Amino acid sequence: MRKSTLIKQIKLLQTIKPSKDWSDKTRSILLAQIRAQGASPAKSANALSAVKAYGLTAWSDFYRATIGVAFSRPRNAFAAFGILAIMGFFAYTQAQHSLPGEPLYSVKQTEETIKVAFASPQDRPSFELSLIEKRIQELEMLRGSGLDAAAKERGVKTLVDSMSENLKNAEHNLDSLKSQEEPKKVVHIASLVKEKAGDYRKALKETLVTQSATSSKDLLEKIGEAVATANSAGTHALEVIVDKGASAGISESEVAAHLNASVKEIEEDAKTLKQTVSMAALSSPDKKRETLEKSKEATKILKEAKESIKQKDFKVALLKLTQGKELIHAAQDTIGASASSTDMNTPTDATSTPNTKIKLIF
Amino acid sequence: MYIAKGYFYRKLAMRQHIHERILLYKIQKGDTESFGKIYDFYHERIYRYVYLKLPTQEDAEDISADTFLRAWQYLQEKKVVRSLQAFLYQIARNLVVDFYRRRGGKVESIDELEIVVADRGDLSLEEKMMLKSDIAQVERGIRQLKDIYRDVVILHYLNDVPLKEVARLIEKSQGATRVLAHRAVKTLRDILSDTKKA
Repeated sequence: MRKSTLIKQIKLLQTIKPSKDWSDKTRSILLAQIRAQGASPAKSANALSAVKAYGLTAWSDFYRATIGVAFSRPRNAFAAFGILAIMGFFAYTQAQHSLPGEPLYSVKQTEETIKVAFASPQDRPSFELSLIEKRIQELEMLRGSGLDAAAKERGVKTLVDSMSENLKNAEHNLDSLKSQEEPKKVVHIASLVKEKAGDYRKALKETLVTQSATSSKDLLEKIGEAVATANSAGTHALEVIVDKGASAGISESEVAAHLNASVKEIEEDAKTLKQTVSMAALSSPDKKRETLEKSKEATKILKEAKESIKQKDFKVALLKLTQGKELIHAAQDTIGASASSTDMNTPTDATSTPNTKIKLIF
Repeated sequence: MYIAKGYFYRKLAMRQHIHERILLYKIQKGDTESFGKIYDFYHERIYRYVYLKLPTQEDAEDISADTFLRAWQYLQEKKVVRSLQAFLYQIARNLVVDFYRRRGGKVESIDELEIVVADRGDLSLEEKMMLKSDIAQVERGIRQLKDIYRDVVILHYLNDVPLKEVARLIEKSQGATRVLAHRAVKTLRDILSDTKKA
């Protein structure tokens, strides 16, 4: 006799069963006996174990009703996948309107990460820059939302980190494209980088102005670093425009326009710095004097940069522009260092000057 | 196809396992209804197991009922139970050993077969007679096996207990249990072929 035949014969003994009458009576007697011993319907020792038991039961029921059914009957798998696809699509569309801190925001971030990963090296810089645009919109939405200060601050931190990273990536991609791609395309991307860096800087300034009263030192320093990132990216992009403008077929007036726009930004920073210095009660008059001198020097250099632009000496203009920026930053460092060591009154008009309790960032 | 089938069976086993864990948790909290569910699922298997090791139907019924009562008492002591199936079989096995220690000797009985076959309304009289004859033959063959072989045959081939669990129950390694299963089947085959010749 073959083994399989024998096993089939053994399986015949599965017909051996107790009588139904006996089974039912035994069940009743058994349960009655154990109840008599002091058992009762499910009682939980405490609320936590009740919740745990319920959770386990609920999970088991859910699993059996959904995933378990799908996997036990293949024809239901299609329906199950269909439902999952619909749920996924719904989550995706809702995620597009989510803000940092909301559950679906991570879905949005994952989608963007995947898109970046699959973007070609040529498309990546413009894609990273489009993400900055999205983050700026989210920043505006966050400012206008009804969230409490702590939640807003967390959201702002997330967005600032994200934007800085996108900008750095775009800058890095621009560098790698410089030697590979045709000058026209490189200059076009550089213009986009410069534009987005400017938008980013503006958004950060607005955030600082609206949130300076409630923001922690941590956030303000983070914004300061982000501004530095934006400045650096903007300067880098400008260098590319000036360097490759001619070979890219960009008109001189266009290059001049870019340079003039940057000069204007630095002049505004110098103006802000002057106002701040005049209002701040610095402990050290020497520091105050030093700051004002640097600011004056920067203003002078920027005038020279404008002259160079008029004369279409763009590389010299760029050099002077960079010098002027460095002087402003040095002046900001000086006033920031002395301001942080003294007790300062917060300016009453939040729209005019940034908080001077920390290192100045504009 | 086999891979898909195996996957589905594993999913079913997992479902069963999760369900049992929840029932065990509830039973340990004193839930009698959950215990009733355990009884509903396992009582036929336990009955079959002890029936093939004991002389009469009454003995099998008593030991089966006692198995569940002991199981309840043990669970109320909040002791850890990893596998409910193995736990119940272990209790049943120990009770059968105690039974023979108290009584000593074995008595063959085939009167109960009438109850088994009478339920098969789908068979003709002749088919029922043949079935009765086949079952009786296999039953006698199993009863002639030595105890450990019988355990392996009933648990693994008849009640579909995985070899891993059978190994734990009989306190042998998996490899040794596999060898035992092979030998048990061979011995049973020899017994049945000797019976036919006779």
